[in-house]
Amino acid sequence: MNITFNPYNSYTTSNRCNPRPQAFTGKYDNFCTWVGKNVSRRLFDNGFIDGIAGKVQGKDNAIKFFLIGGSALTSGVYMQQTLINKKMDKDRKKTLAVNQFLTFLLSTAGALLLDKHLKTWWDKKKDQFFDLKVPNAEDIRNSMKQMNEKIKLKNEKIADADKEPLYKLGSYLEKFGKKHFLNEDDYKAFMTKYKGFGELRSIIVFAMVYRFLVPLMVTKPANFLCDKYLAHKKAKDSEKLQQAELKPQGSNIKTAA
Amino acid sequence: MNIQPLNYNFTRKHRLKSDYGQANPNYKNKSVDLCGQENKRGNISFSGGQEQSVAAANTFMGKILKSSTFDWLTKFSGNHNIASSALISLFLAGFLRPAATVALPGKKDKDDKIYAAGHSMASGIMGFGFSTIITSPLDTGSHFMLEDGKKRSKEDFKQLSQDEIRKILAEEYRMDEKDIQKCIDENNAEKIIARKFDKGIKKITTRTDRINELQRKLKGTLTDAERAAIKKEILSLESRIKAFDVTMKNVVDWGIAIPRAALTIALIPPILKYVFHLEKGKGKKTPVPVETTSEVAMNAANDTQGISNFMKKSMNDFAGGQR
Repeated sequence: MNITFNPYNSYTTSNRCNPRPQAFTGKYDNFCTWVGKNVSRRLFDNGFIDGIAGKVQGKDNAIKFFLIGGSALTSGVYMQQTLINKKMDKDRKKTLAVNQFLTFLLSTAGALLLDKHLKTWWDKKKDQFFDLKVPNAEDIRNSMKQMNEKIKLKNEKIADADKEPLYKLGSYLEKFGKKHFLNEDDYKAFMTKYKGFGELRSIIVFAMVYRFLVPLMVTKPANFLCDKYLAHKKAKDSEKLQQAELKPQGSNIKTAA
Repeated sequence: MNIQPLNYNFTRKHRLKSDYGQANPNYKNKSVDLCGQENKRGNISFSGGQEQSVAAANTFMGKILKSSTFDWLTKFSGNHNIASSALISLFLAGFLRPAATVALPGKKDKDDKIYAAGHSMASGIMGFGFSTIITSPLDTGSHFMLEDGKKRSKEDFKQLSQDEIRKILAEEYRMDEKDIQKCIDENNAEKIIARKFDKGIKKITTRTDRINELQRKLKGTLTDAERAAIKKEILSLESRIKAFDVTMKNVVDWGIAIPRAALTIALIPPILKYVFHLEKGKGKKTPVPVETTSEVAMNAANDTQGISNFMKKSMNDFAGGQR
Protein backbone atom coordinates (compact mmCIF):
# COMPACT_ATOMS: atom_id res chain seq x y z
CA MET A 1 0.00 0.00 0.00
CA ASN A 2 1.32 3.39 -0.92
CA ILE A 3 0.37 6.40 1.16
CA THR A 4 1.36 9.78 -0.17
CA PHE A 5 1.54 12.62 2.29
CA ASN A 6 0.96 16.08 1.02
CA PRO A 7 2.89 18.49 3.17
CA TYR A 8 1.46 21.43 1.22
CA ASN A 9 -1.67 21.45 3.28
CA SER A 10 -3.59 24.63 3.95
CA TYR A 11 -1.54 25.47 7.03
CA THR A 12 1.82 25.14 5.36
CA THR A 13 0.90 27.00 2.23
CA SER A 14 -0.83 29.82 4.06
CA ASN A 15 2.05 30.32 6.45
CA ARG A 16 4.93 29.79 4.15
CA CYS A 17 5.30 32.93 2.15
CA ASN A 18 3.43 33.26 -1.04
CA PRO A 19 5.68 31.91 -3.76
CA ARG A 20 3.74 33.58 -6.54
CA PRO A 21 5.32 36.68 -8.02
CA GLN A 22 3.65 40.04 -7.45
CA ALA A 23 0.68 40.61 -9.67
CA PHE A 24 2.19 43.38 -11.71
CA THR A 25 1.34 43.65 -15.31
CA GLY A 26 4.22 43.27 -17.71
CA LYS A 27 3.97 46.88 -18.82
CA TYR A 28 4.27 48.22 -15.28
CA ASP A 29 7.23 45.92 -14.68
CA ASN A 30 8.96 47.17 -17.79
CA PHE A 31 8.22 50.75 -16.78
CA CYS A 32 9.75 50.13 -13.33
CA THR A 33 12.84 48.56 -14.89
CA TRP A 34 13.16 51.60 -17.13
CA VAL A 35 12.78 53.89 -14.09
CA GLY A 36 15.46 51.91 -12.25
CA LYS A 37 17.88 52.00 -15.16
CA ASN A 38 17.38 55.64 -16.07
CA VAL A 39 16.03 57.52 -13.07
CA SER A 40 17.28 55.67 -9.96
CA ARG A 41 20.79 55.31 -11.34
CA ARG A 42 21.04 59.03 -12.15
CA LEU A 43 19.40 60.18 -8.93
CA PHE A 44 21.09 57.96 -6.41
CA ASP A 45 24.47 56.85 -7.73
CA ASN A 46 26.37 59.78 -6.24
CA GLY A 47 28.43 60.81 -3.24
CA PHE A 48 25.61 62.75 -1.58
CA ILE A 49 23.32 59.73 -1.24
CA ASP A 50 26.27 57.54 -0.30
CA GLY A 51 27.26 60.06 2.37
CA ILE A 52 23.76 59.94 3.87
CA ALA A 53 23.89 56.13 3.73
CA GLY A 54 27.20 56.27 5.61
CA LYS A 55 25.61 58.39 8.33
CA VAL A 56 22.59 56.14 8.85
CA GLN A 57 24.57 52.91 8.47
CA GLY A 58 24.06 50.51 11.35
CA LYS A 59 21.40 52.67 13.00
CA ASP A 60 18.27 51.03 14.34
CA ASN A 61 15.42 51.76 11.90
CA ALA A 62 17.25 54.36 9.80
CA ILE A 63 13.88 55.20 8.24
CA LYS A 64 13.08 57.51 11.17
CA PHE A 65 15.82 59.96 10.21
CA PHE A 66 14.21 60.36 6.81
CA LEU A 67 10.80 60.84 8.39
CA ILE A 68 12.26 63.55 10.61
CA GLY A 69 13.97 65.17 7.61
CA GLY A 70 10.73 65.15 5.60
CA SER A 71 8.81 66.66 8.50
CA ALA A 72 11.51 69.31 9.01
CA LEU A 73 11.17 70.32 5.36
CA THR A 74 7.38 70.46 5.53
CA SER A 75 7.53 72.51 8.74
CA GLY A 76 10.09 74.72 7.06
CA VAL A 77 7.73 75.39 4.16
CA TYR A 78 4.89 76.28 6.52
CA MET A 79 7.21 78.52 8.53
CA GLN A 80 8.40 80.28 5.40
CA GLN A 81 4.79 80.70 4.26
CA THR A 82 4.00 82.28 7.62
CA LEU A 83 6.97 84.64 7.45
CA ILE A 84 6.13 85.90 3.95
CA ASN A 85 2.44 86.27 4.72
CA LYS A 86 1.55 89.92 4.10
CA LYS A 87 -1.71 89.84 6.02
CA MET A 88 -0.09 89.28 9.43
CA ASP A 89 1.67 91.66 11.79
CA LYS A 90 5.46 91.44 11.82
CA ASP A 91 5.74 90.47 15.48
CA ARG A 92 3.01 87.89 15.26
CA LYS A 93 4.61 86.32 12.19
CA LYS A 94 7.82 85.73 14.10
CA THR A 95 6.01 84.39 17.15
CA LEU A 96 3.99 82.00 15.00
CA ALA A 97 7.09 80.80 13.13
CA VAL A 98 8.95 80.19 16.38
CA ASN A 99 5.88 78.36 17.64
CA GLN A 100 5.85 76.12 14.57
CA PHE A 101 9.54 75.40 15.02
CA LEU A 102 9.12 74.54 18.71
CA THR A 103 6.14 72.30 17.91
CA PHE A 104 8.30 70.46 15.38
CA LEU A 105 11.15 70.06 17.89
CA LEU A 106 8.89 68.86 20.69
CA SER A 107 6.98 66.42 18.53
CA THR A 108 10.22 65.01 17.09
CA ALA A 109 11.64 64.52 20.58
CA GLY A 110 8.38 62.91 21.70
CA ALA A 111 8.28 60.60 18.70
CA LEU A 112 11.92 59.52 19.19
CA LEU A 113 11.25 58.82 22.86
CA LEU A 114 8.12 56.79 22.11
CA ASP A 115 9.93 54.91 19.35
CA LYS A 116 12.78 54.04 21.71
CA HIS A 117 10.47 52.85 24.46
CA LEU A 118 8.36 50.76 22.10
CA LYS A 119 11.41 48.97 20.69
CA THR A 120 11.63 46.13 23.24
CA TRP A 121 7.92 45.36 23.04
CA TRP A 122 7.88 45.60 19.27
CA ASP A 123 10.88 43.26 18.96
CA LYS A 124 9.04 40.69 21.04
CA LYS A 125 6.07 41.00 18.70
CA LYS A 126 8.45 40.65 15.76
CA ASP A 127 9.65 37.35 17.22
CA GLN A 128 6.04 36.27 17.65
CA PHE A 129 5.35 37.26 14.05
CA PHE A 130 8.31 35.13 12.97
CA ASP A 131 7.01 32.15 14.97
CA LEU A 132 3.53 32.48 13.51
CA LYS A 133 4.62 32.88 9.92
CA VAL A 134 7.46 30.38 9.62
CA PRO A 135 6.62 26.74 10.30
CA ASN A 136 10.24 25.74 10.92
CA ALA A 137 10.95 28.65 13.25
CA GLU A 138 12.36 26.36 15.90
CA ASP A 139 14.86 24.80 13.50
CA ILE A 140 16.07 28.23 12.50
CA ARG A 141 16.52 29.34 16.10
CA ASN A 142 18.42 26.16 16.93
CA SER A 143 20.84 26.48 14.04
CA MET A 144 21.37 30.13 14.96
CA LYS A 145 22.24 29.08 18.51
CA GLN A 146 24.66 26.46 17.22
CA MET A 147 26.33 29.02 15.00
CA ASN A 148 26.61 31.53 17.83
CA GLU A 149 28.20 28.90 20.08
CA LYS A 150 30.82 28.23 17.40
CA ILE A 151 31.53 31.94 17.08
CA LYS A 152 31.83 32.27 20.86
CA LEU A 153 34.43 29.50 20.92
CA LYS A 154 36.39 31.20 18.15
CA ASN A 155 36.11 34.62 19.78
CA GLU A 156 37.76 33.35 22.95
CA LYS A 157 41.07 33.02 21.09
CA ILE A 158 40.94 36.39 19.36
CA ALA A 159 41.65 39.91 20.60
CA ASP A 160 38.60 42.04 21.48
CA ALA A 161 38.87 44.32 18.46
CA ASP A 162 38.69 41.46 15.94
CA LYS A 163 35.85 39.58 17.60
CA GLU A 164 33.07 38.50 15.32
CA PRO A 165 29.64 39.75 16.42
CA LEU A 166 27.07 37.15 17.42
CA TYR A 167 24.05 36.68 15.21
CA LYS A 168 20.65 37.93 16.19
CA LEU A 169 17.56 36.52 14.53
CA GLY A 170 17.37 39.33 11.96
CA SER A 171 21.02 39.22 10.95
CA TYR A 172 21.01 35.43 10.91
CA LEU A 173 17.98 35.32 8.64
CA GLU A 174 19.58 37.81 6.31
CA LYS A 175 22.75 35.82 5.98
CA PHE A 176 21.71 32.20 6.28
CA GLY A 177 17.91 32.30 6.19
CA LYS A 178 17.78 31.11 2.60
CA LYS A 179 18.78 27.56 3.41
CA HIS A 180 15.81 27.15 5.74
CA PHE A 181 13.21 28.11 3.17
CA LEU A 182 11.73 26.02 0.39
CA ASN A 183 12.79 28.36 -2.38
CA GLU A 184 14.16 31.81 -3.01
CA ASP A 185 10.77 33.43 -3.61
CA ASP A 186 9.49 32.19 -0.24
CA TYR A 187 12.55 33.56 1.45
CA LYS A 188 12.44 36.95 -0.25
CA ALA A 189 8.72 37.38 0.40
CA PHE A 190 9.13 36.56 4.07
CA MET A 191 12.15 38.80 4.49
CA THR A 192 10.27 41.73 2.96
CA LYS A 193 7.53 41.24 5.53
CA TYR A 194 10.00 40.76 8.36
CA LYS A 195 11.87 43.92 7.44
CA GLY A 196 8.59 45.77 6.92
CA PHE A 197 7.44 44.72 10.38
CA GLY A 198 10.49 46.34 11.96
CA GLU A 199 10.09 49.52 9.95
CA LEU A 200 6.39 49.69 10.70
CA ARG A 201 7.21 50.62 14.30
CA SER A 202 8.87 53.90 13.38
CA ILE A 203 6.36 54.55 10.60
CA ILE A 204 3.38 54.17 12.92
CA VAL A 205 4.97 56.07 15.83
CA PHE A 206 6.04 59.04 13.71
CA ALA A 207 2.77 59.20 11.77
CA MET A 208 0.86 58.98 15.05
CA VAL A 209 2.82 61.80 16.67
CA TYR A 210 3.27 64.11 13.68
CA ARG A 211 -0.08 63.60 12.03
CA PHE A 212 -2.46 62.83 14.88
CA LEU A 213 -1.44 63.44 18.48
CA VAL A 214 0.35 66.77 18.20
CA PRO A 215 -2.08 68.44 15.74
CA LEU A 216 -5.00 67.28 17.85
CA MET A 217 -3.42 68.51 21.07
CA VAL A 218 -2.60 71.82 19.42
CA THR A 219 -6.07 72.42 17.88
CA LYS A 220 -7.78 73.58 21.06
CA PRO A 221 -5.08 75.96 22.37
CA ALA A 222 -4.52 77.22 18.81
CA ASN A 223 -8.21 78.01 18.42
CA PHE A 224 -8.21 79.69 21.82
CA LEU A 225 -5.19 81.82 20.96
CA CYS A 226 -6.61 82.58 17.52
CA ASP A 227 -9.89 83.72 19.10
CA LYS A 228 -7.99 85.92 21.54
CA TYR A 229 -6.01 87.41 18.69
CA LEU A 230 -9.13 87.98 16.61
CA ALA A 231 -10.92 89.56 19.58
CA HIS A 232 -7.90 91.75 20.22
CA LYS A 233 -7.75 92.73 16.57
CA LYS A 234 -11.48 93.42 16.49
CA ALA A 235 -11.19 95.60 19.59
CA LYS A 236 -8.33 97.49 17.99
CA ASP A 237 -10.23 97.90 14.74
CA SER A 238 -13.33 99.11 16.52
CA GLU A 239 -11.23 101.52 18.54
CA LYS A 240 -9.78 102.89 15.34
CA LEU A 241 -13.24 103.05 13.80
CA GLN A 242 -14.61 104.82 16.83
CA GLN A 243 -11.78 107.31 16.74
CA ALA A 244 -12.35 107.85 13.05
CA GLU A 245 -16.07 108.29 13.66
CA LEU A 246 -15.53 110.55 16.66
CA LYS A 247 -13.37 113.02 14.79
CA PRO A 248 -15.95 114.18 12.22
CA GLN A 249 -18.67 114.09 14.91
CA GLY A 250 -16.52 116.30 17.11
CA SER A 251 -16.04 118.76 14.28
CA ASN A 252 -19.76 118.74 13.66
CA ILE A 253 -20.40 119.49 17.29
CA LYS A 254 -17.87 122.23 17.19
CA THR A 255 -19.44 123.83 14.15
CA ALA A 256 -22.85 123.43 15.69
CA ALA A 257 -21.65 125.15 18.81
CA MET B 1 3.87 0.00 3.53
CA ASN B 2 5.59 2.88 1.76
CA ILE B 3 5.12 6.41 2.98
CA GLN B 4 6.31 9.00 0.55
CA PRO B 5 6.34 12.73 0.95
CA LEU B 6 5.15 14.59 -2.13
CA ASN B 7 8.02 16.52 -3.75
CA TYR B 8 9.13 17.62 -0.38
CA ASN B 9 12.33 17.06 1.49
CA PHE B 10 10.94 16.98 4.98
CA THR B 11 14.18 15.87 6.58
CA ARG B 12 15.41 19.42 6.38
CA LYS B 13 12.25 21.36 7.11
CA HIS B 14 9.59 19.36 8.85
CA ARG B 15 11.18 16.68 10.86
CA LEU B 16 9.20 14.47 13.15
CA LYS B 17 10.01 15.23 16.74
CA SER B 18 11.24 11.67 17.25
CA ASP B 19 13.60 11.92 14.25
CA TYR B 20 14.78 15.30 15.36
CA GLY B 21 15.45 14.11 18.90
CA GLN B 22 17.41 11.10 17.69
CA ALA B 23 19.50 13.21 15.38
CA ASN B 24 20.17 15.88 17.98
CA PRO B 25 20.00 14.45 21.50
CA ASN B 26 21.05 17.84 22.87
CA TYR B 27 17.79 19.39 21.83
CA LYS B 28 15.54 16.52 22.74
CA ASN B 29 13.74 18.13 25.63
CA LYS B 30 14.67 21.73 25.12
CA SER B 31 11.96 24.21 24.43
CA VAL B 32 12.44 27.41 22.52
CA ASP B 33 11.27 30.56 24.20
CA LEU B 34 8.30 32.26 22.63
CA CYS B 35 8.16 36.00 23.08
CA GLY B 36 10.94 35.82 25.64
CA GLN B 37 9.05 33.45 27.92
CA GLU B 38 10.33 29.99 28.58
CA ASN B 39 7.13 28.38 27.43
CA LYS B 40 7.27 24.74 26.66
CA ARG B 41 6.26 24.29 23.09
CA GLY B 42 6.14 21.23 20.97
CA ASN B 43 8.05 20.72 17.82
CA ILE B 44 6.45 21.12 14.43
CA SER B 45 4.17 18.23 13.74
CA PHE B 46 4.31 16.38 10.46
CA SER B 47 1.24 18.09 9.10
CA GLY B 48 3.06 21.39 9.40
CA GLY B 49 1.06 22.74 12.34
CA GLN B 50 2.58 24.37 15.38
CA GLU B 51 0.62 23.17 18.36
CA GLN B 52 1.93 25.54 20.96
CA SER B 53 1.98 28.67 18.86
CA VAL B 54 -1.77 28.22 18.40
CA ALA B 55 -2.14 29.54 21.95
CA ALA B 56 -0.07 32.58 21.06
CA ALA B 57 -2.03 33.04 17.87
CA ASN B 58 -5.33 33.11 19.75
CA THR B 59 -4.46 36.20 21.78
CA PHE B 60 -5.67 39.56 20.50
CA MET B 61 -2.20 40.52 19.31
CA GLY B 62 -1.73 37.09 17.79
CA LYS B 63 -4.92 37.50 15.80
CA ILE B 64 -3.72 40.85 14.50
CA LEU B 65 -0.32 39.44 13.59
CA LYS B 66 -1.94 36.55 11.75
CA SER B 67 -4.51 38.64 9.91
CA SER B 68 -4.16 39.01 6.17
CA THR B 69 -4.50 42.81 6.43
CA PHE B 70 -1.49 43.02 8.72
CA ASP B 71 0.36 40.61 6.46
CA TRP B 72 -0.32 42.91 3.53
CA LEU B 73 0.71 45.95 5.57
CA THR B 74 4.08 44.47 6.51
CA LYS B 75 4.70 43.56 2.88
CA PHE B 76 3.69 47.03 1.71
CA SER B 77 5.86 48.72 4.32
CA GLY B 78 8.80 46.49 3.43
CA ASN B 79 8.50 47.33 -0.24
CA HIS B 80 7.37 50.96 -0.15
CA ASN B 81 8.49 52.84 2.96
CA ILE B 82 7.21 56.28 2.05
CA ALA B 83 3.92 55.10 0.59
CA SER B 84 3.16 53.01 3.67
CA SER B 85 3.98 55.96 5.90
CA ALA B 86 1.61 58.03 3.76
CA LEU B 87 -1.04 55.29 3.99
CA ILE B 88 -0.96 55.33 7.78
CA SER B 89 -1.02 59.13 7.67
CA LEU B 90 -4.04 58.90 5.35
CA PHE B 91 -5.87 56.83 7.93
CA LEU B 92 -4.83 59.06 10.82
CA ALA B 93 -4.95 62.50 9.21
CA GLY B 94 -7.63 61.83 6.61
CA PHE B 95 -10.12 60.00 8.79
CA LEU B 96 -9.34 59.74 12.49
CA ARG B 97 -8.09 63.29 13.07
CA PRO B 98 -10.93 65.13 11.28
CA ALA B 99 -13.42 63.02 13.22
CA ALA B 100 -11.66 63.74 16.51
CA THR B 101 -11.23 67.43 15.69
CA VAL B 102 -14.90 67.94 14.86
CA ALA B 103 -15.91 65.92 17.93
CA LEU B 104 -13.88 68.15 20.27
CA PRO B 105 -16.09 70.09 22.69
CA GLY B 106 -16.81 73.76 22.05
CA LYS B 107 -19.39 75.25 19.70
CA LYS B 108 -17.83 78.68 19.24
CA ASP B 109 -14.96 77.64 17.03
CA LYS B 110 -16.94 75.28 14.81
CA ASP B 111 -15.72 76.82 11.58
CA ASP B 112 -12.11 76.77 12.72
CA LYS B 113 -12.44 73.14 13.63
CA ILE B 114 -13.95 72.34 10.24
CA TYR B 115 -11.12 74.25 8.59
CA ALA B 116 -8.56 72.26 10.64
CA ALA B 117 -10.33 69.03 9.69
CA GLY B 118 -10.28 70.08 6.03
CA HIS B 119 -6.58 70.82 6.20
CA SER B 120 -5.99 67.46 7.84
CA MET B 121 -7.95 65.60 5.16
CA ALA B 122 -6.20 67.52 2.41
CA SER B 123 -2.78 66.67 3.80
CA GLY B 124 -3.74 63.01 4.23
CA ILE B 125 -5.14 62.60 0.73
CA MET B 126 -2.45 64.68 -0.97
CA GLY B 127 0.32 62.97 0.97
CA PHE B 128 -0.88 59.50 0.06
CA GLY B 129 -1.71 60.21 -3.57
CA PHE B 130 1.40 62.21 -4.35
CA SER B 131 3.77 59.93 -2.44
CA THR B 132 2.37 56.71 -3.86
CA ILE B 133 2.30 57.87 -7.47
CA ILE B 134 5.84 59.19 -7.38
CA THR B 135 7.62 56.77 -5.10
CA SER B 136 6.08 53.40 -6.04
CA PRO B 137 7.70 52.97 -9.48
CA LEU B 138 10.90 54.53 -8.16
CA ASP B 139 10.96 52.08 -5.23
CA THR B 140 10.41 49.10 -7.51
CA GLY B 141 12.99 50.37 -9.99
CA SER B 142 15.58 51.03 -7.28
CA HIS B 143 14.92 47.65 -5.70
CA PHE B 144 15.40 46.00 -9.08
CA MET B 145 18.74 47.78 -9.54
CA LEU B 146 19.76 46.86 -5.99
CA GLU B 147 18.98 43.18 -6.47
CA ASP B 148 20.82 43.21 -9.79
CA GLY B 149 23.78 45.04 -8.25
CA LYS B 150 24.06 42.48 -5.47
CA LYS B 151 24.69 39.71 -8.02
CA ARG B 152 28.11 38.67 -9.32
CA SER B 153 29.71 40.62 -12.14
CA LYS B 154 30.00 38.92 -15.52
CA GLU B 155 33.78 38.69 -15.10
CA ASP B 156 33.36 36.97 -11.74
CA PHE B 157 30.94 34.53 -13.34
CA LYS B 158 33.46 33.56 -16.00
CA GLN B 159 35.91 32.54 -13.29
CA LEU B 160 33.45 30.13 -11.68
CA SER B 161 33.84 26.42 -12.30
CA GLN B 162 30.90 24.13 -13.18
CA ASP B 163 30.83 22.73 -9.63
CA GLU B 164 30.84 26.17 -8.09
CA ILE B 165 27.92 27.21 -10.31
CA ARG B 166 25.99 24.14 -9.17
CA LYS B 167 26.77 24.92 -5.56
CA ILE B 168 25.67 28.55 -5.90
CA LEU B 169 22.41 27.57 -7.61
CA ALA B 170 21.68 25.04 -4.90
CA GLU B 171 22.65 27.14 -1.88
CA GLU B 172 21.91 30.70 -2.87
CA TYR B 173 19.00 30.13 -5.24
CA ARG B 174 17.56 27.05 -3.50
CA MET B 175 17.22 25.01 -6.68
CA ASP B 176 16.61 21.27 -6.97
CA GLU B 177 19.04 19.07 -8.85
CA LYS B 178 16.57 18.82 -11.72
CA ASP B 179 16.31 22.59 -12.02
CA ILE B 180 20.07 23.03 -11.79
CA GLN B 181 20.62 20.50 -14.57
CA LYS B 182 17.96 22.18 -16.69
CA CYS B 183 19.50 25.56 -16.01
CA ILE B 184 22.97 24.42 -17.04
CA ASP B 185 21.65 22.57 -20.11
CA GLU B 186 19.84 25.65 -21.32
CA ASN B 187 22.82 27.95 -20.52
CA ASN B 188 20.64 30.01 -18.20
CA ALA B 189 23.06 30.01 -15.26
CA GLU B 190 24.68 33.27 -16.30
CA LYS B 191 21.30 35.00 -16.51
CA ILE B 192 20.51 33.92 -12.98
CA ILE B 193 23.85 34.35 -11.25
CA ALA B 194 25.46 37.28 -13.10
CA ARG B 195 24.26 40.88 -13.35
CA LYS B 196 21.99 42.00 -16.14
CA PHE B 197 23.38 45.52 -16.25
CA ASP B 198 27.08 46.15 -16.02
CA LYS B 199 26.30 49.84 -15.76
CA GLY B 200 24.33 49.43 -12.58
CA ILE B 201 24.47 51.59 -9.47
CA LYS B 202 28.24 51.71 -8.96
CA LYS B 203 28.05 52.41 -5.23
CA ILE B 204 26.46 48.97 -4.91
CA THR B 205 28.28 47.02 -7.61
CA THR B 206 31.80 48.00 -6.50
CA ARG B 207 31.00 47.01 -2.92
CA THR B 208 29.49 43.70 -4.03
CA ASP B 209 32.58 42.95 -6.11
CA ARG B 210 34.74 43.71 -3.08
CA ILE B 211 32.61 41.35 -0.95
CA ASN B 212 33.02 38.58 -3.53
CA GLU B 213 36.75 39.18 -3.64
CA LEU B 214 36.98 38.98 0.15
CA GLN B 215 34.91 35.82 0.21
CA ARG B 216 37.32 34.21 -2.26
CA LYS B 217 40.14 35.23 0.09
CA LEU B 218 38.34 33.56 2.99
CA LYS B 219 38.61 30.21 1.22
CA GLY B 220 42.42 30.36 1.35
CA THR B 221 44.60 29.64 4.36
CA LEU B 222 44.40 32.45 6.88
CA THR B 223 45.01 33.01 10.57
CA ASP B 224 41.99 33.43 12.84
CA ALA B 225 42.64 37.14 13.29
CA GLU B 226 42.89 37.74 9.53
CA ARG B 227 39.74 35.76 8.96
CA ALA B 228 37.92 37.80 11.62
CA ALA B 229 39.14 41.07 10.07
CA ILE B 230 37.92 40.03 6.62
CA LYS B 231 34.57 38.96 8.02
CA LYS B 232 34.29 42.31 9.75
CA GLU B 233 34.95 44.15 6.50
CA ILE B 234 32.34 42.05 4.72
CA LEU B 235 29.80 42.84 7.43
CA SER B 236 30.55 46.54 7.17
CA LEU B 237 30.19 46.48 3.36
CA GLU B 238 26.92 44.58 3.61
CA SER B 239 25.54 46.99 6.16
CA ARG B 240 26.55 49.92 3.92
CA ILE B 241 24.65 48.37 0.99
CA LYS B 242 21.65 47.94 3.29
CA ALA B 243 21.89 51.57 4.40
CA PHE B 244 22.16 52.65 0.77
CA ASP B 245 18.95 50.76 0.01
CA VAL B 246 17.10 52.47 2.87
CA THR B 247 18.47 55.84 1.75
CA MET B 248 17.41 55.28 -1.86
CA LYS B 249 13.91 54.40 -0.78
CA ASN B 250 13.44 57.22 1.69
CA VAL B 251 15.44 60.19 0.48
CA VAL B 252 12.76 60.79 -2.17
CA ASP B 253 10.52 61.98 0.64
CA TRP B 254 12.73 65.03 1.07
CA GLY B 255 12.45 65.85 -2.61
CA ILE B 256 8.67 65.67 -2.69
CA ALA B 257 8.06 67.33 0.71
CA ILE B 258 7.96 70.90 -0.64
CA PRO B 259 5.67 70.43 -3.67
CA ARG B 260 3.49 68.18 -1.51
CA ALA B 261 3.09 70.89 1.14
CA ALA B 262 2.26 73.45 -1.56
CA LEU B 263 -0.30 71.14 -3.19
CA THR B 264 -1.81 70.36 0.22
CA ILE B 265 -2.52 74.05 0.77
CA ALA B 266 -4.06 74.19 -2.71
CA LEU B 267 -6.30 71.22 -1.95
CA ILE B 268 -7.87 72.72 1.21
CA PRO B 269 -10.55 74.89 -0.51
CA PRO B 270 -12.02 72.06 -2.66
CA ILE B 271 -12.10 69.73 0.37
CA LEU B 272 -13.91 72.35 2.43
CA LYS B 273 -16.30 72.95 -0.44
CA TYR B 274 -17.15 69.42 -1.44
CA VAL B 275 -16.69 67.48 1.82
CA PHE B 276 -17.85 70.00 4.41
CA HIS B 277 -19.93 72.17 2.04
CA LEU B 278 -18.19 75.23 3.41
CA GLU B 279 -16.19 77.93 1.75
CA LYS B 280 -13.68 79.64 4.00
CA GLY B 281 -14.39 83.35 4.21
CA LYS B 282 -17.73 83.23 2.43
CA GLY B 283 -19.38 81.11 5.08
CA LYS B 284 -18.59 83.66 7.76
CA LYS B 285 -19.11 86.83 5.85
CA THR B 286 -22.44 86.20 4.13
CA PRO B 287 -24.70 86.20 7.20
CA VAL B 288 -23.40 89.59 8.34
CA PRO B 289 -24.72 91.76 5.52
CA VAL B 290 -27.94 89.75 5.43
CA GLU B 291 -28.63 90.45 9.09
CA THR B 292 -27.78 94.11 8.80
CA THR B 293 -29.92 94.60 5.74
CA SER B 294 -32.82 92.81 7.39
CA GLU B 295 -32.47 94.99 10.49
CA VAL B 296 -32.19 98.12 8.40
CA ALA B 297 -35.21 97.07 6.41
CA MET B 298 -37.14 96.36 9.60
CA ASN B 299 -36.21 99.66 11.17
CA ALA B 300 -36.86 101.65 8.07
CA ALA B 301 -40.20 100.16 7.23
CA ASN B 302 -41.40 99.95 10.88
CA ASP B 303 -43.26 96.84 9.98
CA THR B 304 -45.37 94.63 12.16
CA GLN B 305 -43.92 91.68 14.08
CA GLY B 306 -45.31 89.09 11.66
CA ILE B 307 -43.69 90.59 8.61
CA SER B 308 -40.33 91.00 10.36
CA ASN B 309 -40.46 87.36 11.45
CA PHE B 310 -41.20 86.38 7.89
CA MET B 311 -38.28 88.51 6.71
CA LYS B 312 -35.91 86.99 9.24
CA LYS B 313 -37.00 83.50 8.34
CA SER B 314 -36.68 83.99 4.62
CA MET B 315 -33.32 85.70 4.97
CA ASN B 316 -32.00 82.92 7.17
CA ASP B 317 -33.17 80.35 4.68
CA PHE B 318 -31.45 82.28 1.98
CA ALA B 319 -28.20 82.39 3.98
CA GLY B 320 -28.43 78.68 4.68
CA GLY B 321 -28.91 77.96 1.02
CA GLN B 322 -25.82 79.85 0.13
CA ARG B 323 -23.67 77.74 2.47
